[in-house]
Amino acid sequence: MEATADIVRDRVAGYVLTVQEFALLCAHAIAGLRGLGRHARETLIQIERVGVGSLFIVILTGTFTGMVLALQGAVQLEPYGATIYVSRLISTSVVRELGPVLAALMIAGRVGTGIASEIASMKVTEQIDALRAEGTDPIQKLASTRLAACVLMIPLLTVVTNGIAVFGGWVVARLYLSIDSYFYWTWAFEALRLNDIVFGLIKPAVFGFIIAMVGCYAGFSTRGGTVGVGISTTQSMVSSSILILAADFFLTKLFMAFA
Amino acid sequence: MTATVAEEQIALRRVTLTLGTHRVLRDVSVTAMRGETTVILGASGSGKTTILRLILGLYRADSGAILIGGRDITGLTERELMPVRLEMAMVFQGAALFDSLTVGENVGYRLWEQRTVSDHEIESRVRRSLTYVGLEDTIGKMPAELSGGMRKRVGIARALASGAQTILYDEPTAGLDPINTCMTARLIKGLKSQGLTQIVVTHDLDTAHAVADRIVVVDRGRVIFEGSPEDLKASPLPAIQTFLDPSLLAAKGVFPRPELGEWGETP
Repeated sequence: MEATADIVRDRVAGYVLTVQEFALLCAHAIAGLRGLGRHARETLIQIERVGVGSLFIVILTGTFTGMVLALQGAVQLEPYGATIYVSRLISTSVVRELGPVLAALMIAGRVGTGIASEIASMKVTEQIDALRAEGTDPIQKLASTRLAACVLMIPLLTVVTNGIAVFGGWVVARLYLSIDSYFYWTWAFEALRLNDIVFGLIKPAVFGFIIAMVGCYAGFSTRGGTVGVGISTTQSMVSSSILILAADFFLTKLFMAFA
Repeated sequence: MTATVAEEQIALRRVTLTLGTHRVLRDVSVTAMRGETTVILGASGSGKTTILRLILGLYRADSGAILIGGRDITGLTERELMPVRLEMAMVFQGAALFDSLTVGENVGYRLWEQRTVSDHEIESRVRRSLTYVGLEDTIGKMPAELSGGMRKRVGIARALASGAQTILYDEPTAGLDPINTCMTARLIKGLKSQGLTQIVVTHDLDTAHAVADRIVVVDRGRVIFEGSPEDLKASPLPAIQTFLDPSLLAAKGVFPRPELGEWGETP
């Protein structure tokens, strides 16, 4: 019985320590955004990696999401003779929820794991220690730069995802549902309110924060050789996906209270 | 007495360090004199590299004092440690070159980051350092394109280009062939003549004798010897004797005994 209590206590202490370390890393990385100019080159490299590097996958994600929504939406709306309004369904669901969440999950898979594995490899090959030995703050150089890149670029990528998804829906609407382009685009834009667009941009910025910081935390906390690199990479993907979905729920609740 | 203190560049005073539940160092005192090469000898896992990390402030001691140029760094924050670290340079065991940078960018990393000298001066220093280690033609290559020995020499060039007056080496000859080992030892010896203070962590006796002014032997987290290379050879301590001549362990039955039969067979 005592042994079980000890295990539970150790587990809880471990989780508390993880949260504390994560919060400290976030605080340090945010503080590092001041004076990021000295790492301008690294920041631009990360912006290019996150932004341009993820463009292809978010275009694919957006296209197929919009196309599937059009097909499924038409099935649901047809009994009411409301197929013509399918673009309303696509634009609102994509801009409010699916665009930010799906883009973030895809980017977490590509960028978040990349951040985690890169920093983890640097950790196990003593490159992080070498940075410190060279008088560089590794958190500012590695975490703040990636944080800035993700928070800036993921909202832009989400805008691309949203646009492409509505476009993908239009392709299906034209080819399979014979909906007139004028009606499609008119209803698509009329359904959107300013709040949808603003909240739809705040969400991806928060998801960008999660992706960058979870990836960095997984990388910096890596222990034990190449096995550790693999574990950190997996951990980063799982944790950031769960946190993105959880954050989406709470942000939606929050926005609903404001709307 | 005052003159001796003035010559001390780095000193650890009764330093103790525990990592996790493992007591890595116990009451360790080590002194490195300015302009001299101090070699820290010891078996793998004895705590040699930990001493270097403590000197750089990468680990924090549980107790004791670490003096760099007479200043105790044990209570300094990470930010306060930055300028202290810039007085030194470290050659890591695996070289720890930055994968995403070219050899030239690695060598000039500190200079590019600090921006205390002109671009022209940085390029000149990078070339001079690479020429010193015989790798001037690798300036545009990536670290992944280099052999282990070349990477270590680039690590030395990085330390040289930084302009630091103290260089710390973590196993600079480990895993190298005899030619590269000899070359690295000669580089370290050559730098001594330029007045640099150097601390070399190694378990290679030949390298130690080739470069050392003073030798410190660490055994299971304790300093068991500190003196000249000649004193080391003359030391009567059993732990030193077995380290210098490991075949003595065979007589105690510590080594495997192949004469008992093939591996896996019951004798």
